[in-house]
Amino acid sequence: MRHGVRIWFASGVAKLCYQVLRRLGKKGTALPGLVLLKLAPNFIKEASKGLRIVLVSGTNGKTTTTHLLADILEQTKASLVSNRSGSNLSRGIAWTLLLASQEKERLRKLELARHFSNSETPTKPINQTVWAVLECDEAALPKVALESNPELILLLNIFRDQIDRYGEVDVIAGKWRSMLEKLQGPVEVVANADDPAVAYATLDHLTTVYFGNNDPSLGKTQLQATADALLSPIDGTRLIYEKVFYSHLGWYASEDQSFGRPRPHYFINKMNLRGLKATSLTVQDQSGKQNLDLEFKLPGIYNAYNLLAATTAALRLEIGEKAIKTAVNGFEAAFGRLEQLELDSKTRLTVALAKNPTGFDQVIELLASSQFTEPYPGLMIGINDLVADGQDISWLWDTNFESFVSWPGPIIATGTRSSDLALRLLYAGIEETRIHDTTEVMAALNQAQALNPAAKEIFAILSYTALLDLRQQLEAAGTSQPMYKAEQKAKLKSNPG
Amino acid sequence: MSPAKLNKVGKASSSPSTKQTQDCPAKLVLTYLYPDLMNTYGDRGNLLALKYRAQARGISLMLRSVTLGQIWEPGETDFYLFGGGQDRAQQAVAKDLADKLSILKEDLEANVPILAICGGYQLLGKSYLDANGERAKGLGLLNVETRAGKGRLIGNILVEALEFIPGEKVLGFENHGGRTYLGAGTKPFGKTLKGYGNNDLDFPRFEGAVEKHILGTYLHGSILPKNPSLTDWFLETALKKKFGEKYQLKELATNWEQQAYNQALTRL
Repeated sequence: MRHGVRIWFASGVAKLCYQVLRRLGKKGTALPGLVLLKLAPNFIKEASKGLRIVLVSGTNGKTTTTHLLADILEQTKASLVSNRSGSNLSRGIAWTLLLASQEKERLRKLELARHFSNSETPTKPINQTVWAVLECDEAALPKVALESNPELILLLNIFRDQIDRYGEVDVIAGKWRSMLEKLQGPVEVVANADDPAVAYATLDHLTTVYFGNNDPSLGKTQLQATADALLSPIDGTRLIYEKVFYSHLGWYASEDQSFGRPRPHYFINKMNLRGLKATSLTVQDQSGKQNLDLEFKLPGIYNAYNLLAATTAALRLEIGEKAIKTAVNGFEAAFGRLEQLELDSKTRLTVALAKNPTGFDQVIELLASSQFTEPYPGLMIGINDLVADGQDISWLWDTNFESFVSWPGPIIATGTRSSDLALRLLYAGIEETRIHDTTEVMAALNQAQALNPAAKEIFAILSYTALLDLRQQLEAAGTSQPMYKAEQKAKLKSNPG
Repeated sequence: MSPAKLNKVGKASSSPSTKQTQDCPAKLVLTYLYPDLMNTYGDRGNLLALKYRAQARGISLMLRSVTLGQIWEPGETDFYLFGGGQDRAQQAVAKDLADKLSILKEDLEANVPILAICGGYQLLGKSYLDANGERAKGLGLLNVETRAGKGRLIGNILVEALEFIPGEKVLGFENHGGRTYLGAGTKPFGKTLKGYGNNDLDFPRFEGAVEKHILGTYLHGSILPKNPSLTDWFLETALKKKFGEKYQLKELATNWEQQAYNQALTRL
C-alpha cells in the first residue's frame, strides 16, 4: 500500500502519541485519531484503499451489531479490525483504519516472504483480505461514508438521542438522505424498513436492501406516549401503524398510502423472546430459499433487530450460514449491554447502558416483565450529565419509569443527576420509602447490596460515563472477571507495534 | 381544513392512576395540545408534576389530549399544556392551529392558564420564521415574534421570575434555534441570570413572555418538576378560577423537588 509522505508522517506522530498516552496510563484512541486527522485531513480516504469496509450506524444498537458482524466475518479466517471500544467518531475511525492499513501491510510482506522463500514444499498463499468493520456515529456517518468508500453501509434506526448535541430525528434523516444522493461507486446500503425515519432517508436510493420484522405476534397497535409521532415526508400527515414493535418501529403507512414501510428483502419470520435468557428467531428472504434458524443469548426485541441487521449484512457480503450460526450462538454481550460481572462469590452485577428513552425503555421493560422470585434482585439506576452523556436530562421525563411501580424492592438513584432521577421516580408513582438518592456510583452499589442482603443479582442501568466510572472503580477494587472478553481480544490487536 | 373533517374530542377521561378520593370534590381538567407531536424535549414532565402535586392534595386531574384535526368545547378546560417539537411537526401544527384558534382565544381571554414551552411558546406568538425562510402564522395570543437564528442556544438556564412567582429563581435547560422578540409593552416572564432566554441580541437578557395567565417560555428540564412554586402557582390559579378567589391550596412539602433543584444548580 502506498502512502504519501504526509500520511506516513501523520501516522508516525499519531502512533507516538498513542505510546506516550499508554505510558501515562491512558487507554484512549481518540487523541491519536484526532492527531492523525489534523496532520493528514485526507487520511480516511487514503487509508481506506484496499480494505473491505463496512459501516454500521444508527442511534441504538451500533455497538452490539458491530460486534456481532465482526464476529461473523472473523469466521472467514480473513484479518479483521473493528473499533470495538466504541470510539465511533471520525477520529476513532481514522485510528482503526490506521491499524487496518498496517495489518494489510504486514500481510503483504508475509506474502512476499512466502513467495520468495526457498522452501521445497509448496505453501498456500496468505489471505490478503482485511476487513474494517466500523461502528459510526449517526451524525459523523455522511462524511466518513463519502471518504472511506465502503463496501456496505448498515442503517439501523434513528431515535431521539442527546438532543443537545444532535438535534432531531429529522435532521439526521436529512443528512443521511443527502449522503445517499452523493454516494458513488458500488456500495450496498442495507436498511431497517421498520423505521420510518430510515425509510425516508433511503426513499430515493432505489437499490437499498431492506430488513424488517414480519412476525406480528409481539406487536402492539399504538405508539407509546413517549415515542415521537412521525409525519409522512410526502404530505405531512400522521403515520398510521398496523403494528408497533418498539419506539416508532413497526408496520406503518400514511393514510393515503403514498408513504409506507418498504417490503423487506430479508425478514424475521418467527421470533421467540425468552425473557432475559435468550432469543430464537428465523430469518428468511423473499424467495424462501434463505432460511436461517438462529439462537442468541441477548434478550429483547431491540436485540432481535440487531441480530437481523447483522445477519442481513453478512448474507449480502456472501458469508455462509454456518459462519453466521457459529458466531451468533457464541455471541456474548458487549461492554455495558446486559453484561455480567461477578461482585463476589455469591453476587452478580448485570449492567445495562441506557443513553436515551428508547434504549432505556427496552431495558426497563425487560426487567419489569421478568418474573423474579425471592430473593429479589437489587436495582440501581445512574444518570450522569457530562458531555458524553448529554447535558440535558429532560429526556428522563419521556422514559417509562412507571413500569417500575411494581418493582419488588428499593430503587437507588445514582449519578451526577441522582436527585432529578429520584424526583422522576417519585412522580412516576413509586413509593417514597423505596427511593434512595445516592450520588456516588460505588456507594450506590454498596447500598444496593446492603439493602438487599439476600439478593444474588444486582441490576444497574447506567448512562455512559456513570458506567465507565463504576467499571473503573470495580477494576481498581479488583473484581476478578475482565469487563468484557472482546476488549481482551481488541487489546491484542490494537498494539500498532 | 374544512370543519367537516374535524373530530370533536369528548369529555376528558381520568388517567388510570388518578385516585378519586371520597371527601375531595376538587377536579381539574387539563387539555394537552398535540402531546404526540410536540413533546420532543421531555415536556411531558410538566404533566407529571401537575398530576403529582394535585393528587397529593386530593385533587384529581382529568386529562384530555388533542391533536391534529381535533377540536373541543371552550369553557371546559381548567388549564392547557403545549410543548415543543421538531420543525416539520411544528409546521403541521401551525396549519392545524387555525381551527383551534377560536376555542383557545375564548378560554385564554377568560384567564384560563396555559404553560407553553419552546415550540408551543412560539406558536402562541404572532408568527414564526423558520430556517428555510418559511413563515408560519401563530395564534397571535402573545405579542411576540420568532425567527430562526444561526446555531442554537443550548444550556442550563437560571431565570429570576418577574411575573406569577416574582423573585423565585427558576431553573431549566434551553435548546432552541428560534429567537423570540417581545412587542412593546409585552412582559417577559423573568430576567435571565445565567444562559440566554428569548434571544441572544437583547441585553440585559429576558426569558419568556406572559399575558393574562399565559406563560410562554423556553425552559425544558422539564420546567415544573424542579420548580414546585410554579407548579403550585398553576394549580392554585386554576383552582381559584374554578372555585373562587377564597380557595386555598394546601401546603405540600417540596423536599424532593428542592434536592433536585439544588443538585442541578451545581451543574450551571
